Amino acid sequence: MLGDGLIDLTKDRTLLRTLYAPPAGGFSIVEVPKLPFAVLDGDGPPVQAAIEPAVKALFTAIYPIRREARQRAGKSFVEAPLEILYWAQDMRDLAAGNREAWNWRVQITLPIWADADHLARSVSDMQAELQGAGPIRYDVTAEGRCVQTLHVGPPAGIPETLARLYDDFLPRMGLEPEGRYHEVYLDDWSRVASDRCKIILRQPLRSAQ
Amino acid sequence: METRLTDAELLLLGLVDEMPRHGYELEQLIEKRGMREWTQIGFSSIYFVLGKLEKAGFVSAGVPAGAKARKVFSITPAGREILLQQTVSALGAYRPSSSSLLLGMVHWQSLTLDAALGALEARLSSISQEIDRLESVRRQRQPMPDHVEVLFDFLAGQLAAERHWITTTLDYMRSKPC
Repeated sequence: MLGDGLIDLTKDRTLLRTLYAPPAGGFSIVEVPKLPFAVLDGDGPPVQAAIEPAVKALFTAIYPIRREARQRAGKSFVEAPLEILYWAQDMRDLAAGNREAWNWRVQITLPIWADADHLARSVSDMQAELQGAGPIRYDVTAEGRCVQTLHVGPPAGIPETLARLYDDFLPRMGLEPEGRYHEVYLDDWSRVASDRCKIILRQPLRSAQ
Repeated sequence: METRLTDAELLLLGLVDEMPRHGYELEQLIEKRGMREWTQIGFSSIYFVLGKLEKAGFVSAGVPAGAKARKVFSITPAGREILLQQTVSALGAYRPSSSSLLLGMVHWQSLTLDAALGALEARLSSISQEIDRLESVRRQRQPMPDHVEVLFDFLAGQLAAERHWITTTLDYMRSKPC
């Protein structure tokens, strides 16, 4: 069934703001529902030379869907941002910033009417522009309870915020990270200076064992 | 006297406003974003225009760190002020652009009907090619921000309107009694 059990974020603006426009400063706990994504798994460590073409391929692949979304939604169209998940077999590699050991995945939320078949048609329509790109697939994920914050500024400042999150905030709240660390990029880095770039840092959670 | 920036100056000023950039980076960006198609700006003129903007106090050049380091240009408060002013006027003021169509149609009667219809058919075919080219550029240049997507909508709309006008006019001229 189309959009089965999925929440239409373009209709629920409060949830949309909670998930994609959190305030800067401080950590907040949010419940992230089941959302549909177009995803492309990274190959090798997350270096710029690998991430950039993957991001371009993903946006290219969903272009027909994005175009249809603009037509369908008219003035209420909302541009979905780029998201990247990072994880490591040994989570200590993630915390220590050993990027060679990281896995990554680029993803963009889809409108709820765009199901797996729709995405497959979109990818096949863009085949000529997608030469050499890795496989793009449909995925539905629910991150559940997460902690998140809005980081404004160069990515070099992120580790400091994460250290406060993992070493101070989570232990104090009796919580532990569970699942993949997640960044949502609200700006295009090729058009906005890095000191003004907004990035949502999100981490799924469980209660401390 | 009020300063008026040329199109090339306004273009470079806007790109430097996004973030500080050096000349080579600007050159690559203009290529990547397809801006060369609609601006008269060559590689050598980028440095010439940057020099003019610097002299006017609209950009400032950072001192290169080493002998081989590139000069990085940033916008100044005065540059930002004029950028905002002239962007408002670029958006707000209609600048008529004349098309070769005007001259062609005015002299329609100097041609035989067949020659005139043939020329208009050729125009129809180049408009159709341009519509296809624009669509292909749009697909290759993903992702584009929304304000650029709607600019493509504008261009596509203009071409579609012209195509419609040509087909209607061809029909009309063909059926007109001689």
